[in-house]
Amino acid sequence: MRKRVLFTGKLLIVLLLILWTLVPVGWIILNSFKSGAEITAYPPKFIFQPTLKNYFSVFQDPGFQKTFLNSFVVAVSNVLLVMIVGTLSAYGFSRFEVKGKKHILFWIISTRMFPPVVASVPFFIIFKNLGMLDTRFALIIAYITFNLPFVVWMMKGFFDEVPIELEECAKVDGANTFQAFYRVALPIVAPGLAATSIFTFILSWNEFLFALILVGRNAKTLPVHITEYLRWGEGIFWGDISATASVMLIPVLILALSVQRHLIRGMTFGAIKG
Amino acid sequence: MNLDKIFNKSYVYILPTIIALAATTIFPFVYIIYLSVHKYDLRYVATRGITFLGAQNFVNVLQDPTFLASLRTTLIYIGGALLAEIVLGVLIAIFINTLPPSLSWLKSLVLTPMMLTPVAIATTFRLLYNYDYGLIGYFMQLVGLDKVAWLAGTNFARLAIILADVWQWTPLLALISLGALQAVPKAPLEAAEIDGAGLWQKLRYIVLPYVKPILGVGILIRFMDIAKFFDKIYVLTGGGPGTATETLTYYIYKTAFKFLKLGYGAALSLFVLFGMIVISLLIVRLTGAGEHIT
Repeated sequence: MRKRVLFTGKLLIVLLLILWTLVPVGWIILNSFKSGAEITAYPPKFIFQPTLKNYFSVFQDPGFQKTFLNSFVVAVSNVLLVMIVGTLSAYGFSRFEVKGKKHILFWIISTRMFPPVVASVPFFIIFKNLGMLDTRFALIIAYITFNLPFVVWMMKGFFDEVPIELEECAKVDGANTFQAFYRVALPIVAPGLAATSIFTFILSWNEFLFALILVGRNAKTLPVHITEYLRWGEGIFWGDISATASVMLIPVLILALSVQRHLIRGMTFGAIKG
Repeated sequence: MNLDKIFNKSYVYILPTIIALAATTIFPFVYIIYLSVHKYDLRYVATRGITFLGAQNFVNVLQDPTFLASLRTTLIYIGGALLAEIVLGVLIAIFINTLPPSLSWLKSLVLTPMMLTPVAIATTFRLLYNYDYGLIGYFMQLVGLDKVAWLAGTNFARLAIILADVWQWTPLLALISLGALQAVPKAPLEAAEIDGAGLWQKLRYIVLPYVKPILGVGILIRFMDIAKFFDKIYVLTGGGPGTATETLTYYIYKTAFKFLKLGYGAALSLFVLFGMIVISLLIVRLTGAGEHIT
């Protein structure tokens, strides 16, 4: 009897957890297949004739096309930049005796904590003086502040787990340190490279504050685009808004599930290894 | 041969990162200090230039009622959201830890929200909170409660913002607590059992010392994130009603980019930065999180 009560209790909590997690995201995705009037119907409609109308409307909108492309180009460029620079130095910190290494690494992680709004004031003036406000370049540079420290710490963790003996063998066979890095260590940490790239992509894709401040009409990204609908009046645009939100969320959902195994490491900047 | 020697130097690998981070963090930081002691008003900078103010901006900050109000609001969010996330996160972790391996997909599902785009999540919650057709109001009526105009009143708007944050970030604390629970070794627990230790003693002297520093990392990360809380407020309430839901970050954003007072914004930023560093160090000291960070 007691066992059955316990089982029912557990089942209830499991159901509650599933609902709690699924309802908000599920609701906006569900609504993206409704017509505008159905979204604002009360009581809410759970059964309806699904339509792709909102997606057609959104994807045919030049404003959306441009911001989608901007989001993608900024995120990918930033990932490439920080992955190359960050992985190199992660290897350096993992394999070399560097004077004051502990302090330098602490400095690097502490820059990750620099609040974006604090950095945004000087960034705004600097990019304004350089005539580079409202360019993708400004965002790609601004995103270095949080993504580069992240890559250094993540990749250092992955390199630390590779036994150095393999690279020493390669060096005995005549490889220099860079070749040992490139040919031996890098292929071994390939899964880590993939996971770290995905995390940095998501961080760039999700970023809002710098995008709001540093760019305008030309280099606008999706998060800023969606808030503009809300400013114009949410009532009329819910169809477009839910389709846009779904387009933002679905790639992240897929990517997030693909890095499940590295989640704890990624979310704690490598501080806790799972 | 020469090339081999160059590749053997550590700075070849490290220097690009140091330069990039110095340019994107140290340089802005120094620039902010410079700005904070000047009157830098974007509207007049072309005609009147920049005037040196000394410490005037800082004196003004301390007497600025909006600054103090937004500091208070920020502390409410930190207190409310962080506490709820720690308690719920630990409970969820303890629960998931008891589940059979066949239910590991549940863990993946529950942990997903923290990766999702905050702006899109806030938009979703704005739909859920809507007074006329929101799902939350509907559920409240189903169980016999009255609908609430979530985003219109001060207390409900703050609660709405905290709830959306708790929804997205409790999974992080759950994930970290799970990691912490798995770090507790079984042997000392069994030994204590044999020696007749009670539940409280086991928790206090065996579980807590392992869990505390790991949980500390989570608390530190969440503290810093809530301290710079912005996206959800911008989408859900725009700081309103009035300035009731405005955080420090939001106030700095408004000062610098709506009122265009960049010098004053810089002075505000320095206060926030200073406060964050002090509290972060306090968290590290109290929880021993340092062993994981350095």
